[in-house]
Amino acid sequence: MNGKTLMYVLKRIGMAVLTIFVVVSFTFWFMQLIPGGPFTSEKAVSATTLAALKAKYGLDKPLFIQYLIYIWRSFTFDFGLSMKQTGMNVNDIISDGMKYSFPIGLIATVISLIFGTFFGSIAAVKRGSWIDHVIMVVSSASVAFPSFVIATFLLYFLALKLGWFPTNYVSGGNQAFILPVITLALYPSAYITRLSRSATLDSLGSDYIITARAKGASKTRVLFGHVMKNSLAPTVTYAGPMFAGIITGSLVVEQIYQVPGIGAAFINSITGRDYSLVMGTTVVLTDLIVLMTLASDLLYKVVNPRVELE
Amino acid sequence: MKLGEKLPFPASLQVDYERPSIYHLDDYGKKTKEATKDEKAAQEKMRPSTSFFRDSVKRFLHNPVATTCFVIMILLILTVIIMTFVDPYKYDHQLSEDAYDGTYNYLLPFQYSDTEKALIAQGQYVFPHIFGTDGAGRDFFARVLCGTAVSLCVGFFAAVIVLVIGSVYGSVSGYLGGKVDLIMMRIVDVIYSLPDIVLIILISVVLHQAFLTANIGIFTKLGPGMVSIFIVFALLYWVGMARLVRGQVLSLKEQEYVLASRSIGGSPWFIIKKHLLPNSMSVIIISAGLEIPSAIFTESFLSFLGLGVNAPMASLGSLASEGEPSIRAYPYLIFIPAITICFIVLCLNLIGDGLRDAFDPKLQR
Repeated sequence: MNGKTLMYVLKRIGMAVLTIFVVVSFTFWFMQLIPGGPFTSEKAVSATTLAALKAKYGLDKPLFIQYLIYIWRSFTFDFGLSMKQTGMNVNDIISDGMKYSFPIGLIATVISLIFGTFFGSIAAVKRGSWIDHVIMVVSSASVAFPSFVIATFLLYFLALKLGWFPTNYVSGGNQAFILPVITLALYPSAYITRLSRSATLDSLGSDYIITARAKGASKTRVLFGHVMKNSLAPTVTYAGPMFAGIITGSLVVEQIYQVPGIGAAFINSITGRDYSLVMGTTVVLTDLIVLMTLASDLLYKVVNPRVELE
Repeated sequence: MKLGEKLPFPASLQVDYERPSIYHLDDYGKKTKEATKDEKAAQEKMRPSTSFFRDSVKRFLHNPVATTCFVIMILLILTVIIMTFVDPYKYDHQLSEDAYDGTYNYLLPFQYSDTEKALIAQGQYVFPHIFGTDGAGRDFFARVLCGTAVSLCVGFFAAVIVLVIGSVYGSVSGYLGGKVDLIMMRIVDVIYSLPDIVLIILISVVLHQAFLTANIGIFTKLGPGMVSIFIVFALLYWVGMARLVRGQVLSLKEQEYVLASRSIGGSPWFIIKKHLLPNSMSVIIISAGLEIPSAIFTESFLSFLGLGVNAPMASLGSLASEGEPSIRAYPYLIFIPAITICFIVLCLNLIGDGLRDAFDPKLQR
């Protein structure tokens, strides 16, 4: 690793930390806009109880001190107790949610990577044929379908009408994760298909492909040994943010399939003004996105060594 | 030779190949006659001069998919406008409450309630419920019309917001350059890397709560969800546009006419307004156009989570969201708005692709 690359890596890490800092600060100050606090409810709470509660969660301190504590805790992953769900640790709530969201997100990512690259390459190799047209039409249609539409259609036809899949996630057993995974994987698969199609087309037109063919390498060998090496680069950069995006964007899908994942926890935390849980979910989701983007940007250099880092 | 008399040969030996001389030498080296007026007129009959814009429109019209989608979108918009006036039902009118007739609720498409059946038996004409009615006895066709209009408007205005903020920010940053540019672009970088879904939901939930209690006249009327969607777009989504415009301005500001304008005292703002923005307009408008389907997408996503427009107002996302609980018994209540969203977004995406191909010939395959 030379000095230039090191500088780039350090700069990117600094940028990532700055991003997390901005999001955390924004979250803190923005949450102050909501009228009422976490202890406002239908039941009237006596002044002494309120004071005791506020003291317990540190809400009685000046706002700026609260902010500093908030920043410190968000960088040490010490989110403390939930303000609404009594006795529950925020870290526990988040890991409970992740237990559902993570496997679904991971499987969806892997599936969309495999399908996307596969169909994209086929479409590029068979360019202009009916296979290419079918793949392109299906993928441009899939990009236009919001996830909740796909989710409700699948739920209605496959689970309710045909009864092939359970409708409730938690009690549904092993089969239950299939529909959420399909729903989550559809958009990224279509996107990767288009991405890898154009990358493969670019790569197929290069001189070194013709050279390789002229030297007698078989079509398969050229495709896997020469074309793929270059056409995979854009997919690699997309994969990291995509994984993070699938997990954070699974809110709707989780709602429709009744998955008690991180998305549900996130929305509940904001509407309930559960400050510590908001901090926890925002920090975890932001970290996930920022780290994934960072990782895939750095990985891009490994996949494509010719690229100049700035 | 007298003054004013035409020289028998070009005064300069440098032959101007661009402009054919009126003196030609024929095969035998003799001077030919000057062309008559008619002959000149025949020469002048060229193709009508074409501009970049006209060229692009022509390319766009040669794309059958994009053109079809464009026509369909125009027809859809016209249908929404016309049918809103033709349809006697209002999107927020609860027919069952007025008539004290529970059979108005959950009517299937083209069915009538008991009250209406009685009217029809008397020989009166009753406008059919084309898409049936929803659980509160509201005509669903009127609601879908309202929802489509709201969704399209959200898409359009969000694109306008992105266009205005992005192009002002980007052109200022690109034109001023130097340290200002550096700082402004760092800000853009930070906003660009913010996790959008997390922030969108955070902002909409917070604003939703704030507006619900704050009761600020126009905001309450529009619905807190709508306002927060616009704020989200104004805060987060202009950065892509700003980068694009900056790139355009950076390449345009080196042009001679900018230097000329500056040398005769044009102020930076004047130059941006008069020279830089108009010249990058087509690129800017195309990418603003591509912003419309993504805004509709985001709006329907938020509305589906219950963070969009407030009932009785409707958007396509909120209609789908309202229909979701009764999906087993009344699937049409969710399918109609859902299919409409898919249709609109698909059409707009294809139009966008067509426009990009037409206006950016470098990208053409």
